[in-house]
Amino acid sequence: MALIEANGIVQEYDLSGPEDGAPLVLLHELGGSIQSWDRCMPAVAEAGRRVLRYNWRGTGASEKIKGELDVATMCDDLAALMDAVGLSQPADVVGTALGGGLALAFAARHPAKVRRLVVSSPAIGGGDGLGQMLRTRADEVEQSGMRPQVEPSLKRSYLEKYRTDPQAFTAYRNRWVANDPVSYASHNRMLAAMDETANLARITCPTLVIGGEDDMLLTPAMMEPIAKAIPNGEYRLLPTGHFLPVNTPDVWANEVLPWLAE
Amino acid sequence: MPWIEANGVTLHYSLDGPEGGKPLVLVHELGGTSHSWEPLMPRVVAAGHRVLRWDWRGSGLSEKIRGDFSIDDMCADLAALMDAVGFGAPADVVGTALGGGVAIGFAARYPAKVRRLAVSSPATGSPGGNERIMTRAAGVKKDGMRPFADPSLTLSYPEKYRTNAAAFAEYRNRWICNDPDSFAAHNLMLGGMDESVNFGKLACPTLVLSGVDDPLRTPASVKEIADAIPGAQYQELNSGHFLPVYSPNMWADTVLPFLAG
Repeated sequence: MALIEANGIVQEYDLSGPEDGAPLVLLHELGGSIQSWDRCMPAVAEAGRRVLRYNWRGTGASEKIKGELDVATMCDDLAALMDAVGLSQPADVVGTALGGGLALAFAARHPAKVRRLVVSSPAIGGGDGLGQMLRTRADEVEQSGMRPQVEPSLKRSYLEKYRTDPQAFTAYRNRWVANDPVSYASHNRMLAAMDETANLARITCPTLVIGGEDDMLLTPAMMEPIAKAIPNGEYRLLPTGHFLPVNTPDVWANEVLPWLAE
Repeated sequence: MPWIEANGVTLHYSLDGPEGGKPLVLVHELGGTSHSWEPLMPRVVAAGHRVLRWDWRGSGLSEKIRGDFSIDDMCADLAALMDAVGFGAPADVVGTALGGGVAIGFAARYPAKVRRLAVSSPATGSPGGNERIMTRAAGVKKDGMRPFADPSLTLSYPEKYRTNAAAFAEYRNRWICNDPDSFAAHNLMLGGMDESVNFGKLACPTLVLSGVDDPLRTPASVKEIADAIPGAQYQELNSGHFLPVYSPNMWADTVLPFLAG
């Protein structure tokens, strides 16, 4: 992992795989980090991809956030990072949960940088009452830190039934707790204020939208209309939860990598 | 680097060197992380040490601080971490700048856990007022780390020690990426600290180093600390406030033989 300045901030990233491999960008979820993809990486390496992972502004060792954040800034962060690390060809962009929402927003704003797009359980805005939950959580973490929120949050996004690797879950939980609460609050408020619905029609690349059978936060019924609103959108329902690559890395590898290679 | 829960918080740490090696704990500086010790790790490991490094509560990838944080909390974190990772035997404890102050605070509170102590430019409190520290704490809380990077590093990482441009750029980037609120809490901890009351209690062999180019903890002020610690050795080196960060070989040439003694 390395640090680089791009779009006016220091960003932590990891670039791996053969230099001439087909470029792939992975966006982690809210509360997650580069390591959220660790268990997917063997399959990514086997597929010969050149892969860029990064920690969002405010996440991991990337520069922390003071004040407000909007989705356009987050998209510009990624565009500048891709330039800074030399990913000049259009890349496949893959994200999960809020990382999926960001991937969609990125494809709408920087279409020349995206070849194919895969989003699982994308969070594209604070509608359907989600906004209030996010704002409340933002206030609470700023007040009391991450720790009191970890159980209630992971109970929904990292279901018991997917905690089959206890070591992986403990590591995930520890990393989650170690987030900067102020930056995490900014991410929550950004999502609460976001509405990417109108941008979906502007996404022109082939896009796979994945719903998780066990995702109680962004249910399959909410995901299918997103796929339908994207001109080249395709929808798939998979046996997983809200954090597809974290909950079920095998499902992710078996479904996403072949679809990208089509 | 893994995470572990100790003293009720999640701490990011690393263990290097042979399992049966002589236990050594490295305490980083204010604004630093476990990475601050990276340049001297090859020599430390070659000297046969089993090395524990960790990101302070609030630093690097450890759990962040909400509210107050004291030197007692910091020392209790380290004691619990040593237990959690199986550092049962007394360890050599080494720290720089505020990490040196923490190492001294730790040796006073947990004497049974410390074999030998080596500190450089230890910040053990804020004699003569702490306006700079308090101003910086309030400033980063309001505006983030970035505006404070250059004013801070001018003092702690002087121009003449930036001979490795890539190493300095990396250090500066990492510094900027601190959580401002936790960094502020560390500053306030230093502002509220006075470990001078503990100097006389230190019973283990102690080496105190100062840097001739350290405007923050001048050689004269560091020597006073050494003089107050029973039996402590004192040495002045051609370095600055973050000695091990930019003078790793000088650090290794001085500290490793002392620990082996």
